[in-house]
Amino acid sequence: MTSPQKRGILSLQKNKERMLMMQIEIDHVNMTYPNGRRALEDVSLTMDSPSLVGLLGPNGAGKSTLMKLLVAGLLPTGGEIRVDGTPLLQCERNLKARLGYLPQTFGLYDELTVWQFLDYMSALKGIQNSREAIASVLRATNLEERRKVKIRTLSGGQRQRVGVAQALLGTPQLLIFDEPTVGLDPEERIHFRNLFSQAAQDRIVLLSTHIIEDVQSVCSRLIVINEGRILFTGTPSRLIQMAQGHVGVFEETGNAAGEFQITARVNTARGVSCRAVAKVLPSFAQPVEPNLEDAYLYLIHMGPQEAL
Amino acid sequence: MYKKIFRYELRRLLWNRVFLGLLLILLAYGWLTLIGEILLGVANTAPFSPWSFGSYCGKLLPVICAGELFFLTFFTGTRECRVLADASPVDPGRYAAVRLGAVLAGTLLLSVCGAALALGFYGAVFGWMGFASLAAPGLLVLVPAVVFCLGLGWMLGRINGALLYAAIAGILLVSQLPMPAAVDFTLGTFFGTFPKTLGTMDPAFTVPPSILWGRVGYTVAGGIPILFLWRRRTK
Repeated sequence: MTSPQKRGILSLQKNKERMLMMQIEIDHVNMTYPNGRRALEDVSLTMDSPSLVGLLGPNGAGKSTLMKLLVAGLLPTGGEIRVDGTPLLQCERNLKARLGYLPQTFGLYDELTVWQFLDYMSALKGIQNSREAIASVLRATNLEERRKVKIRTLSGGQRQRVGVAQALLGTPQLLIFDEPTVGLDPEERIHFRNLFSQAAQDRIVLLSTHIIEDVQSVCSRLIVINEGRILFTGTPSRLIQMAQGHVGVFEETGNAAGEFQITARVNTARGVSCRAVAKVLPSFAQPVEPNLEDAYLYLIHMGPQEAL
Repeated sequence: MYKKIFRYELRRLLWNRVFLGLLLILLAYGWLTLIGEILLGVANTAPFSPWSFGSYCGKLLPVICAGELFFLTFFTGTRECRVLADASPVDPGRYAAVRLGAVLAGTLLLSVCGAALALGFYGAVFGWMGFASLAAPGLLVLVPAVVFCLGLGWMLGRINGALLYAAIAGILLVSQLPMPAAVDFTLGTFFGTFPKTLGTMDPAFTVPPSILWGRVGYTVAGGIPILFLWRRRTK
């Protein structure tokens, strides 16, 4: 092969890679709802592809609001969101053409079959070769056998799978899943975790959840949010490191008092064994190695300043 | 792309038991109206006169409008997947237009079925086939009312899906109330009394300006919210 040909192929490959690359910048974003409720406060983040980002936080922390802002479902009351350097408002259609979104609550057309619904969604997304795209997402979500079944006859978990399938249609570069594993059985949850991990190899996958297990094994980056503020952003191992020396176990007795937060109670032959997090562990607690759940709870209960 | 969306929306509206039930009610009610009232002719006119046919259309109108408002319930509430559509690159204005088109097509189908029943009846019972003369009263009754319900329904549906059911009840109630001819939703008063004032047997079909303005009023009242909401969606 001659060098100009080589250069041409390399340039094509680079262009393709550039097209697949995506960067989302959230710059000092605030969101206050018309009723005065402040959902997000000075949130700043950057997400580059490929990455699988886990968004963790208790109910009402602001996760769904952040996701709605990212899909242009809401307008921030302050700050700016940029996609590849362009303000979101100026590239909304372009973003939506590259987006797969599973909201926390969504309706499905009960009158249609699974296949028909996905075909409808393909039309909305402007997918040309819908047949192939649908077959691919049906395979990925284990819905092949249910493709001719009316949506009204599906179980809650199967409906959730249809929701995930529509988000995956057309291999979008940005996948946003809001509580995607709700209603799924343990086997399905593992399957979907692997699916998200696979999908994140060449794009951004943002996974919002309050189930630690869902993000523990697959996410390369975690964002912990509470009361509209970002408490932590980094790798799961860094979060665990933060809780080192702050997690302990002890037997529950009547006089166990102090500044700690019990995170688990287990009945054992000797009584009730408690697992707790604290800024300073009480003397009766035996320090143990923290896991991600401990670290998350430590961060949520102590706040970012205390936790550091 | 939009053709496919239209096809699916129409399928959702028509391929269900409620639509089938509605169609059966319409045809049964239409048949009873034909053999009970229209067969004798309305206001001393022939049963197949524009006056009698207009009166027949007015009788069916509440069922047709209830069907139209029912179609609109498909775009609201838990059955709706608007949040998914909003996250897609589809043009919101065209998408709304396609969905309204599907509602209109469904309503048109109901109207055509009702009209076809009457035309079949006229042909079978009287051997009368001058159907072209029936277009004017049919359009006078149906078009303004259908546009009015579409606009009202779409506006109410965007506020709260439950309001559509209230609108169905409201339309059924208003259709039964005695109203001044100019604002009579079904034009029952007009078709039942106006021919008698013309002083001839089986008079030619004419519409006084007050009735025309009333129908224009209904059309505009329905058209304004459609235009307003469509422009807002496009923006």
